[in-house]
Order: sequence, then C-alpha cells, then structure tokens
Amino acid sequence: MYKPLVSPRLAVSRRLTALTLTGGIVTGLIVCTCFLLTQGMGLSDLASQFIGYTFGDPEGLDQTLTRSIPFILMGLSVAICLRVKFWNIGVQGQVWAGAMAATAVSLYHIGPAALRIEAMFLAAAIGGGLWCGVCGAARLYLRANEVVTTLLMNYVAAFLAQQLLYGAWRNPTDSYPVSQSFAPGETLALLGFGHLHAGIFISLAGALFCFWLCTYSRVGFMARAVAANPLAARAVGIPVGRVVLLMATLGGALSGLAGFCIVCGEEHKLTQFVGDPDFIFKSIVIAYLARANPLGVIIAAIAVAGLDTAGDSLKAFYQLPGATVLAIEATLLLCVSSFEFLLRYRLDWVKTGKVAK
Amino acid sequence: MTLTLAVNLANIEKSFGTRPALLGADFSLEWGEVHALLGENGAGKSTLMNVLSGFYTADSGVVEVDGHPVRYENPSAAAAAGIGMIHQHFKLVGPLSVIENIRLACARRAGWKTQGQALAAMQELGLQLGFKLNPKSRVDEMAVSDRQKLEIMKVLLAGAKILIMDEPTAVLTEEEAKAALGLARQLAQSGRAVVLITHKLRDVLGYSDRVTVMRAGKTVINGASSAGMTGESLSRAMVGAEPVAAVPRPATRPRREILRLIKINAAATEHGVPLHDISLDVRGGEILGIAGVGGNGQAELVETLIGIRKATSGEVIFNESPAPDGPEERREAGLRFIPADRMGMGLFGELALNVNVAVPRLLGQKPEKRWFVRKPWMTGIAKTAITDFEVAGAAAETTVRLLSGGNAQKLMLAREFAGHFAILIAHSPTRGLDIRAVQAVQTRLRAAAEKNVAVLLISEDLDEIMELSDRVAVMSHGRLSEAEPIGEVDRGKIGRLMLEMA
Repeated sequence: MYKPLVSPRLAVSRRLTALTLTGGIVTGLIVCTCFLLTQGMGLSDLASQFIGYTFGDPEGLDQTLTRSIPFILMGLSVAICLRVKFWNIGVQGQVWAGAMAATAVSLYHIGPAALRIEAMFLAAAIGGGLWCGVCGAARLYLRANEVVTTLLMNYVAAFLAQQLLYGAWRNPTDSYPVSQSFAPGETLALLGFGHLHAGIFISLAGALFCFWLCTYSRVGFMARAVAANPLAARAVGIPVGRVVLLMATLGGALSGLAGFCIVCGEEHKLTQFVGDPDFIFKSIVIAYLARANPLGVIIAAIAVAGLDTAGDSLKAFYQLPGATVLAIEATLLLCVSSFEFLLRYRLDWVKTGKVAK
Repeated sequence: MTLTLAVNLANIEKSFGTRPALLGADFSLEWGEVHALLGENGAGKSTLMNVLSGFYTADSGVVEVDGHPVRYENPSAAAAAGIGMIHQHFKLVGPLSVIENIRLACARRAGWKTQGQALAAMQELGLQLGFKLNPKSRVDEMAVSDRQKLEIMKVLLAGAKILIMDEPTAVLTEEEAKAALGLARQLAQSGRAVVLITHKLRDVLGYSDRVTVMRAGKTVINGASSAGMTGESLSRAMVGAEPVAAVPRPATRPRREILRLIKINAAATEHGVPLHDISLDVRGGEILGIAGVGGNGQAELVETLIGIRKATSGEVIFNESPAPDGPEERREAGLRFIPADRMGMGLFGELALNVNVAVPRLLGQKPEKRWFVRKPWMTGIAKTAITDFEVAGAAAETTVRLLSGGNAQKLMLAREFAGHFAILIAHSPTRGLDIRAVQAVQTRLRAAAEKNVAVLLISEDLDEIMELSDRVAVMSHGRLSEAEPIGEVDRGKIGRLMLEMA
C-alpha cells in the first residue's frame, strides 16, 4: 500500500514556482471550462468568446485593453503593499479618493489652466495615497490592523462620493447625480484605437516604476528585509515604520491614479460607477496571480480584463448572469492559491509498513 | 531485568532532498541507562532521534524497539509505543495553564475523563520526581526550567518508557542543569531508558552510562562506556582531529574609552526586568564581559545600547560625546551587534545570503548609489563574506534559513564585521554552536579587540567570559556590578556577586 507523505520543502527553485503557478492556472481553467459547458456552451463557443472575441476582435481587444488600464494600476497597488506584508483591501476607496480629488481640481479650476490635467493627475495620486497612507499610519501609531481599516475606508470614500454627487457636485444642467463633464483639456487623449486612451502609458510606466522600486532601489531592499524579519530590520537600523508607511502610501497613490484614468480616460466626469466594489476583489486576484511581481501584474491585469470583456458578451448572448465572471476569477484564485501548498511542501508516495503497537 | 535492547537502530540513512543527513548511523539503547548522544551541530544527532520518535521516516535501515522491528509513520505512533521526546524548543501551548497542557497532551492516552483525574495523576508524578509545579500557572509566565519540568511530566504521563532529551541543559543555569541531569539518572534508575542528546562533554562524563558519538551522519563511537572516556578522547572523536587550541589572550593594552553608560534606567521587556542605574565603560582594545543568568536585564541592556529601547534616564556616551538616538544613527556611529537569537533579531532567514549582507550596508550609502543596487556588488560582498568567514556550504544566492547554526553565526559575524566599526555588542555569540564554530567566533571577537574595537561580551557561559574578557562585571536583577580586571576575580566571586545583588 502506498500513502502520501507531506514534508516541508527546504528550498524552492524558480522553475518550481513557475510550474506551480501554471499548474494552478491550468487547473482553474479546466474547472471553469467544465462549469461553462454545463451552462449550455460548447467548446467552440468558449474559444470564440474567451479568446477570439476578447483578444482577436478589434472591438473586444479595445474593450480588454481599455479595461486593463485601471486594473494594472490597482493590481500594482495591492502588490506594492504586499511587499511589506501590508494587506490593502481598500482599492475601491482609494480609486474613489483619487477620482474625487481629480474631479475637484477640474470643478474648482485649481491651478493654471495649461497644467490642469497634470494637477488632476497629482491630486488623484495624493488623494489615493492619503486614503491608504492614513491606514498605514493607523497601523504604525495605533496598531490598528490594516485589513480592517483599509476595508472600512472603502465605505467612507463611497459614501462621501454619493454625498457629493447628490449634493454639491450634482450636475446643475440636468440634475443627474453626476458631476459636470470635464473640459476638453482635462481628459486623456484617445489613441485612435477605439476607446483606448493615453492612460495605458501611465499604467505601463507605473509597472516599470514599481519593478524598479522592488528590484533595484534601496527602498525595495529595505522592504524585503522588513517583510522577512521586522525585528532584525529594526535592529540593523532600517526605519521599519517609515518603509511600511511609504509603501502603503505609494500603493494608495497607484489606486488613486487608477481612479484618475477612469474619470479622465473613460467617463470624462465623476459618475456613481467609478469606484466599483468588485475592484477590491479583482485587484487582489491580479496581484496574487502575478505573485506580487510588478511586470507580472501587467499580464494578469490584461487577463482579468479579458475575462470581464468575455463576461459582457456572455451576458448578452448566453443570458448568463454577470456574476459568472466573478465566479471564474474566484475559481482561478482558489486554484492558484491551493497550488501554493506544493511550493511549501513536497508530496511523496511512500510504502506503508507495519505500525508498531 | 530484561536482555532485550530498548532501542536498536542499525545502518540508518536519511537525506533531505539532495542533502544527506544520515549515512548509515547505528545506535543502541539499553533499559535502565542514560545514554549520551554526542556530536557537533549538523552531525545528525537530532535527525537520528527524530527517526526514532517518528518525526522522520528513515530512507533505509533497521529500527527496532524492545526487540521488534518497527516503522513509525508519525510521532503519535511512536508516542503510543512509549517513545517520548523532550525537544530543545518545548512543544507547549503558552497561553494555557500547566494542567491544561497536560490534559491536552495526554488525556486520550491516559484515559482521563475529568480534570480531577488529571490533577491526581500529575500530583502523584510530581511527588515521585520532586517537582513543585502549580497546575494553574500559565505556561508562558513560567521560568524555562519549570517549562522543561512540565515537558518531562507531559511525556511521562503519556506513558513514555524511552525518553529522548534534546540538549536539555542548553537553556538552563548551572544549578538547574545539574538538577535536570540528576533527574535523567533518576528516570533511568526507575527502569526507563534515557537518551541525552548533547554537545557538552560535562554532561557525558558526569551523568551518562554509555556514550555514542556521531560525526557527519555516521556513528564513530558506538555505545562505549562513559567511564573509560576523557574529555580529550571524546572531543577528538567529535571533531575528527586534534581539538583546536584555546584562543590565546594577548597582553591587554586598554586605550581610549569608546563606550560609556551613565546610570541607565530602562523599562523591562515582556519577560525581563527593568534596568537600574547601569553604569559601565569599555575602552578600545578590550573585551568587557558581562556574566549572569539570562533574563536579568541582558535583553534590556542590549536593546538600550543598539537604540531600539529608550532609556528612561541616564546617558549613553560614544567617543566622549552623547550617542545619537536611533538604531540607524548608532550603527552609522560605528556600533555593531551580534544578537543572542540570530534568526530572530539578526538575519533574514527567508532572504538570500547576498541580500542579508547587503541590507545593512545600504543604510550608510551615498545618495547617488541608492537608486540602483547592483547585483554584482551584492554578489561580490557575499563572496567576500563567505570566504573571509569560512561560511561552509553556501553560495551568494543561498537562502539563509538553510544554513546550519554555526554557518549562520559566521555569516552574522561577516555581516557585522564589514567595514570600519568601533563598538561591538556580542550577546551570547556562541550559544548552541559546536566546538569549531565556537573557536571561530571567539577568535573573531579577540581579533576585533586587537583592532582597537570596544567589545562588550554578554554571556551566560562563564567559561567563555573567563576565557575572553579583560574585565568582568556581573548582571543580576537589572543591576550591574563594578567591572573588575579578570586577574582579580574567580568563579566563586562571580557567584557571590550574583547572590549579593539579589
């Protein structure tokens, strides 16, 4: 008789990491495929929806790429915070904060008109950064757990936005709960491919910046030390609190910029749908699939955006509920995180012998 | 009396991945004996005993218990067969009480239904062994020696006939250690069999009947009578060569005063004591030894010195001017630190060796170098550390967690000895290391003093203090005695000082 024996791994090779990640994704995809097949879709339908339309069709590709712009920034936001073991569950609130800050700059004509969009960019980064930085400071000085604070700050931001949209910022011309549209100079330029706008450059630059920060900068190395052993980091003189605070603020700023890209690139005004609660979950999925690697975030964000695009057409053509896409993403996340077990432990089949009495 | 062996292990092999830990080890244990299992760190003592106690399964070889071949799939199968292991790091649940820990571990096996039954059993055993443990004490508030007693009771109440004690004296004071070893003898006399895993020669010569010595995964002395052994013959068997000569002590040439504390008071750590008016001074080129049992203010003193604990009053003086405040600034001012718990407060276990050596050096770097930490630079300093400090079995990219205790400590020294420094705080720098690693570390401390560094050596190991220090002070209950030149103190005087200050 053989039975499984689980033992902790001493060292983990890069190849093994890649293999487990691939294994998790493939397993997740198989499970999702089986699920969709039971929903009355054929294999060829699936291929055409998920691959053909999402990435092959200009309209689908446009949707996917446009969607991926804020997703990349939100994924980076969670990933950067994870580098110092700071759990950012507050992406939605930070997106709201960034979007509201940018909108305020537009509505109140803050700064010189020629530099308005730059001022909006800056305001969004500061807004998002503050929204998350406050939680970092609360952890540092009040020992408040960031999982709770960042989560609750989502609600603060969302209700503040509702308050503004139904109050001071309500559109004066038609009384809809949306802000006035931004002036032409206050939006991100279209790139001539459907809705794709200049925000893509912000996202990609953000990913490169984060890659540099984590891989080459001094702060990145300090962050690794802080995550690995805060006590030892403190003993060698690393300002542990400041490093955590900095990474949390940067993470928030990235989400704030995602809000900026949504209002300035897609909506051109503040609407009720800017800060989607699903962002919280999706940003975690993206950061996790990318193993908190900033360059990996680009790929993971495009993949998740692709799933969303496919989800829209599933809704339209197969009458599947919108939650289908969330279920697929959750399944992928579960599979990938379950496969992590194989990174930490090895599984052997051993021959069982006689157990002594 | 029975003629069957309690345990017979023959030709055991075990490897972890590609790293062989045991290469055909043998071991036999008789009922009624204390059997010392001796070897350097990494010789395979603990691995071999973990095979016996079911934590690991052997790749090949014979395991016989009480004359029958067995193969335990897990520790509870071994425990059910009467094998109990008292681990070096106790397996107790801190926030629970003594009796709760006992019930948790043994209720099912002992068949107790109520708290009363457990209490009665515990009290009966306590009387036999002469233990006085309050069943209601919370474990994490108990002294280390009491926790060890609890661990022993737990294993005995679970029905253990074969006891494996892993380095039982490592965490105890002199007196406690003697009591624990005496207890091992007592248990053996009651007909049980006791294995004493150790690397202290004293434990072997004074308290065991037979001794087995392991080196590099193999048995080199198999169950010889301890009576015929000398410290010299044992250490030769352990090390495999003539033991290295003691570190020579050069004539002392104390120079300029580099570190001074004036009437430092500081709050206690979680399990420690507050500091009361600590004053000391260390000159360049000398080692000031601070003797004393752990938990008497050493941790607080160390934290205050490196700048992560604020003194409530008093002054820290570096080079005749007030020391800067935080740990970063103090490090920059030339302070280096070897913590007692190298994996807890020193190294970054999950990170690669090169990152471990690089991180502290990044702090003092010029601003223009901060933007791009180059990998070749990291690899370079890592390789220098590995060669200069003879860190065995490691490359620049090795995860530090995988290093053995001795090699991790060598890496720790390599990191702290890099560059120019003026003050070295070494807290129990040789604890848990084998003979050769101890020699290497002590030689380095001496060498640092030779280079005019002010060395503060805080250690519970009196031999080490006496061998290395130029002056000695004693720490007790958060107070520090006047430092005295090594020629004017002896062990008796240090012992008296510990008592007088209480």
